Amino acid sequence: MPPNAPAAEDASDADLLRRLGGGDPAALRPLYQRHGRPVYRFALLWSGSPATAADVTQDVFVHLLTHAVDFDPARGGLSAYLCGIARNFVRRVHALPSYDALPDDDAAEPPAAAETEAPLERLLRDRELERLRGAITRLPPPYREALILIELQECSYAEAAVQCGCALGTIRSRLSRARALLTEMLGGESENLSAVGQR
Amino acid sequence: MIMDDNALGRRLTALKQELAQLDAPAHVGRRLDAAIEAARQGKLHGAQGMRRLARESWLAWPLALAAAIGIIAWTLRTTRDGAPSEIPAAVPAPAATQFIPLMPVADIAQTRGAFVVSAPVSRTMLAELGLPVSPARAAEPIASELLVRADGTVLAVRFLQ
Repeated sequence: MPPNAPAAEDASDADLLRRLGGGDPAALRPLYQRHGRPVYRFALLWSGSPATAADVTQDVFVHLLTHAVDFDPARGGLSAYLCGIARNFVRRVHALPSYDALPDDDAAEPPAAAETEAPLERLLRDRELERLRGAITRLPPPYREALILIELQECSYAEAAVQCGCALGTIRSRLSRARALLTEMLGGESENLSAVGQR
Repeated sequence: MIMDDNALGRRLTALKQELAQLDAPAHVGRRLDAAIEAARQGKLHGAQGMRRLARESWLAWPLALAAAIGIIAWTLRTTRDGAPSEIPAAVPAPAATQFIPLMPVADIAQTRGAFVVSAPVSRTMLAELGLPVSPARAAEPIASELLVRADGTVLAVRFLQ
């Protein structure tokens, strides 16, 4: 590391990627600390499997270790770029036998129930979110990607369009279609569960 | 009935809030550290080799843990033979599954109040819910918590491990 270089925690993504590309693998750690969570969440929503999401997150960053120079900041943010790699890796993993049945040593536990939340409300909320996650996983890939990036990862339309390789108008219509499909999928259940959100 | 867009928006917001609390499992970071270390030492070349190392390095942790447990067990046994041993002060809190509904969720949603009751249940209940049960321990009860309605109806169960 050059003597004037900022500490890893303060360095920009561009600096860290430069270091990584220049043969300083330690620069990967702060990049993982910054972008690991969004990549994991994307992979989880995309695959519907915590085990796959963990493996894919790891593979994405190991890939970055040796392909840091491939990132082009002109095409969007690093998180969106890494999520794109994650999407491709999930596709590859899904072509292989599933490993989900294997126990994970410390797989991410669902967030602990808040002490203040009654078990009944917690149960109903969990079931609703489980149905929503399942429905997202069943969306056709182009719609799913638009929904995850914009609604859940808070990417801008422009970033999502770059990430998906399509025009801005296309990403808008994909998101709209994704929401319509989700509404249809969850519609039958909402009648029974509509009381839940009102409590 | 078709759910309205606002209801979908509320659910997406709830999911986003849940995701905000979610982090990648700790082992991902540990495996990446192993890959970084290997790269620093120039032991591995190419992404394939890195990925292999990162995947296989997980073995080191269980092995180290097993070795530590073995040493502690051996130490305790040795102590017990000589002097009375002390019970470890800190006992980790039991982990629990999420509540598993035992009746249609739509029916549960009509419930206005419920309370939690601790009770041991037969392990065969695990099997009935599609959870794995060791045949060797099938006769043993398992600690659980029942979510019970005021009229005594059991709505859901979670198991303490």
